[in-house]
Amino acid sequence: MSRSSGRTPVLTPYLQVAPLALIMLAMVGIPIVTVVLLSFWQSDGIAIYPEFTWDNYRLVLTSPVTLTLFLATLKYAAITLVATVLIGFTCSYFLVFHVRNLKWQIGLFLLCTIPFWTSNVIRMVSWIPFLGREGVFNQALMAAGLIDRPLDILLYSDFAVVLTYIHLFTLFMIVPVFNSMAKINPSLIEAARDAGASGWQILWTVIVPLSRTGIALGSIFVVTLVMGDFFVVRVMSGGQSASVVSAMKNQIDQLFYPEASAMAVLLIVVVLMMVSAILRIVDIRSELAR
Amino acid sequence: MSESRIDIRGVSKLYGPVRAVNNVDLVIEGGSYCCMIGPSGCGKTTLLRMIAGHEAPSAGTILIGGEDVTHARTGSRGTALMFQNYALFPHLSLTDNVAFSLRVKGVATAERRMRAREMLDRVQLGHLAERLPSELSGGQQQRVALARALITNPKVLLLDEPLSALDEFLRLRMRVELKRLQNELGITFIHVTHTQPEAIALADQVVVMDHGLIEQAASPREIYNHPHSPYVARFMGGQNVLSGKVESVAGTGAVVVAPGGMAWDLPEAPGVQPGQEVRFSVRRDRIRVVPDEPARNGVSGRVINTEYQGTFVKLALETGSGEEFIITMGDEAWFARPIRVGETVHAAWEPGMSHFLQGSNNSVGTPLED
Amino acid sequence: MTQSTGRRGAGFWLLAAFFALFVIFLYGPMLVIFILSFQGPTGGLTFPLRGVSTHWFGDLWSSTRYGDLGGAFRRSLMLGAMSLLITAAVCLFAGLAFRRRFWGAGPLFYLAITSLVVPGILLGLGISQLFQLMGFRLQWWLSGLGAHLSWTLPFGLLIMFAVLNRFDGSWEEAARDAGASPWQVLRLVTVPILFPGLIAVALFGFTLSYDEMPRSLLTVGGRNTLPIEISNMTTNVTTPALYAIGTVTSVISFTVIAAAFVAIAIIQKRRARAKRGA
Repeated sequence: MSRSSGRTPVLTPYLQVAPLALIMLAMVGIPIVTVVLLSFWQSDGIAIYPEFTWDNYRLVLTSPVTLTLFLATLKYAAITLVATVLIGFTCSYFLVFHVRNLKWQIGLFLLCTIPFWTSNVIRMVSWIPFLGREGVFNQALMAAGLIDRPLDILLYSDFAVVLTYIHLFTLFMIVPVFNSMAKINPSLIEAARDAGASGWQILWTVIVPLSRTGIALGSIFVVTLVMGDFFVVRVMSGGQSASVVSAMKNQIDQLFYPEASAMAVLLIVVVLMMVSAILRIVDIRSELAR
Repeated sequence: MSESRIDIRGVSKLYGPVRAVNNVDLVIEGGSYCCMIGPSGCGKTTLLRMIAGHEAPSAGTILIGGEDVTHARTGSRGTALMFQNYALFPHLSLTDNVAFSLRVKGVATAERRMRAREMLDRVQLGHLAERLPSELSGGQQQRVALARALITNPKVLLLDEPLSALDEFLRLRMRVELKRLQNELGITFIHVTHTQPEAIALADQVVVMDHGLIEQAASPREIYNHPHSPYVARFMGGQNVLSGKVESVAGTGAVVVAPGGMAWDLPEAPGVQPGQEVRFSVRRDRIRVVPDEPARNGVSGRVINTEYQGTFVKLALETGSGEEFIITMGDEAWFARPIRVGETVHAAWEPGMSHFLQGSNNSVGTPLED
Repeated sequence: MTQSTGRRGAGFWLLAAFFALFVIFLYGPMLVIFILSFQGPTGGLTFPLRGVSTHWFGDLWSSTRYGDLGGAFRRSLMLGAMSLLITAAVCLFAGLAFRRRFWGAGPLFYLAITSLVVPGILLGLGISQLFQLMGFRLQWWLSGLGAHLSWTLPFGLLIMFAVLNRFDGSWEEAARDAGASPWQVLRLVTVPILFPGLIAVALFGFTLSYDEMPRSLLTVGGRNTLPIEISNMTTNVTTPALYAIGTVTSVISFTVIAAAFVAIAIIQKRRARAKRGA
C-alpha cells in the first residue's frame, strides 16, 4: 500500500504525467508507428504512395548487402562492448574499492562523466589530429624510432571507428557499473575475506555477480548506441565502412524513405531482441526500483 | 461535550481486499492520553492517519468535538500529527520549520517568527533557532517536531511512534516530558506505539489492536488486570495463559480442569457451559513456588530457564501445555534457595487470581517485552 | 574503508595507472584540439603549431565559407533553453506522478526507454514523415524541439527517479498537516527540497539538446542547429577553424556544467552549514 498517497485525488497523477505522455506519444510513439507504416508503402523515388506492399522488405531481405551490413554493425557492437565492459568495470572497481576518500571518489567519478555533457561530434573530431598520417600518434611513434613510415591504418579505418566508439560510450558503462558496485555492502567483502577467499575469488564470486545489473544496463546503452550510429562510422572510416544506420542514412538522402523504413524496422527488431536477451539475464527493473 | 473528544463510529479502511481497519468504534475522551498499541500491521497507524486526515475512511464517520470531520481537509480539523521520522523540512531553519503552519495561513513574517521562537524556547531549543534540522540530534529533532505540531494550537495531538527512533535513555526522558506536556496543555494526545511499558506508563486509555480490530480499550490497570482475550494477555505481557475444560458451573464461577487433571477455580466466568474449552490468565507476579504439588490452583513443571532481572528473578517452566509458564519471584526468595534449570517446580496461586478470558482472539501477538 | 592496512599495495597502483590512462584517453584528444585551435594562420590540422593566434576563431566569425554559424548557434542555444525549461518542468511532475501506481504507468515508462534505445536518425525520420503526412512544415522550434524532447525527457525522467528516491513523502504530508494547500506544498516544500536534483535534470535538458545531432538532422527543416553545422564542417572544412568551433562549443558546455555544479554546491552548502560553534 502506498501511504504517501492517502488523500490526494485519484486524478492527480494523470494530470501530472499528461505532458510527458503527450510529448512521448507525439514524438516517439506515433513517429515509430509512422516508420512502420512507411515501410509497407510504395515509392518510385520521387513520391510515396500509401498502398500496401511487401516490396521494401523483399528488397531489404533478399539483398546480400543487408547481411553484410548487419554483420559489420554487430562486429562493431561486440568489440566495443567487450572493451567498454573491461574498461568500465576496471575503473569502477578502482573507484569503489580502492579510492577510500569519498570526496575523491565522487570527484574522480564526475571526471569520468563530464565528457557526457559535451558534444559527441567534437569528441569524435578530436581524434583526427591524433590519428592522422601526420598526427600526434604517428609523430610520437616515429620520434621513438618504432616505425619509419607513418601508419595509415590509424585514421579512416575500422580501428578509428571502434576507438571512437570506445571513447564516446565507455562512460555509459562506467555510470551504471559504478552505481551497482557502490551499493555492495563492504561487510560482504570482509565476510568473504574472513571465509578465506582470495582477491580473485572475491572478485568473481562477490563483486562480479553483484555488479551484473549495472553491466547489463551499460551493455544495453552501449549496444544500442553503437547500432544506432551512422556518423562515426561514416567519418572515421573515411567512407570505407558502413553500418546498418549509415546505409539507411544513404537511402534517406536519396529519398528512398520506404526502403529505409523497412531497414529501420528490421534494425529495431534486432535491437529489441538483443535488449530483451540482456533483460532476460538480469532483472533491471528491480535494480531501478532500489 | 469537550471540544477535543473523538468519536470513531464504524470506521473501516480497505486497501484492495485488505481490511487494514475493520469497522472500529471508539470513544476517546477530551483531554485524555490515549495509546494505541498492537503489532505492526494491526491498523493502529492507519487509524491514526484517518483521524489526522491523511487517509480517507472507506466507511464510517469520525467526529472531533462532536463535529463530523470524516472528509474535512487535513490541517483544518484541529489535529496535528507528529511523524515517526519527524519529517522536518530539511531546507528550513528550526524557526521556519516551526513557523510553517503560520506561514501557510498567511501570518506576517515578523509575527510568525516571534511565535515560533517562543515555541522553540518552550521546548528548550531557542538557542538553536537558526540551525537546520540536519545539525540536530535525534532528541532535539523530536522536540522541534513537537513544537511544529503544537504551534497550530491543536485540539488533538497525534503521535506516530514518537519515541521509537530514540535510544533507551532519551526514550524514558521524553516519555516523562510527553506526559508533563499533556497535563499542561490539557488537550487530547493519541499516541501510537508498539511497546507495552510506554503505553502502560503514559495512557489514561490503552487501545489494543489486532488485525484491524480493537481487542480492548480500557485503562492500563484494567487492561493489565482484566485482559479481554488471550491475545491481549499475551501481548501486554506479565501474564500466563492457561486453558482447560469446564467441569462444573456454580453461580458465576466455574471449575476448569487441565488435560493433566489439575483443577482451577474461576471466580468469575459468566455464561460458560460444562464441557466448554476456556482460557484464563494468571499474573506472573501472583504465583508462589510451593514445596509440594498443590491440590488445586497450581501447576508443576520442569525449569527450562532462569533469568536474573535485578529486583526479581524470572523462572520459565515447561508444563506440557505447549506454552511456557512463567513465574516471577523476589530476588531474595530466589537467592535464599536458588532453583536450577532442570528441577521440577510446583507453583500455586489464590483462586481469586485466575481471570477468565472472554475474548476468542488466541493469537500469540509479538510480545516485545521480555 | 574496508582495508585495514594503511599502505597501498601494488594492486592499487596498477589500477590507479589504468584509471589515469583512461582519463588521458578521455580528455587528451580534446586537449589537443583546444591547443590546435590556436594554430597560426598558416598552420594545418596537425602539429607542429605554426605560431599561436586566434586567427581561426576570427575566421569563423568573418568567413562565409562555414554557412550560417551564427544563426545555428543562436538556434541551438534557444533549443537548449527551451529543452531545459520543459524537461525540468515535465520531469518534475512526471516523477511525482510515478510515485503512485496509475493506469498506463508501465507502457509510458517503456515508451520513454524505447526513445533512448531507438536510433536517433530513425526517430527523426518518423517525426519528419509524420509532420509531412499531416501537412505541417518542419520547423526547428516545433518538430526540432519535439525531437530534442524525445531525447531529453527520458533522461530527465530517469534522473528524477533517482532524485525522488531520496525524497521522503512524509515531508509533503507534514506540510498538508500544517494546513498547506497543494500549491503551497509544491512551492514551499517539494520544489525547494528537490531543487538541487532539478538543476541536474535541467543540466541534462540543456546539454543533451545543445549537442544533439542525429534526431535534429531530419527534423529542423531548412535551418540547421550548431551540431549539424559542425558535422557538415567535418567533411568540408580542412582548416583549424573546425577545431576553433569545437573549442567554442566545448567551452560553452563546460561553462554550463560548471554553473550547474556550482549552483548545486551552493545550495548543498547552505543546507549543510558546518556545525560551527555547535
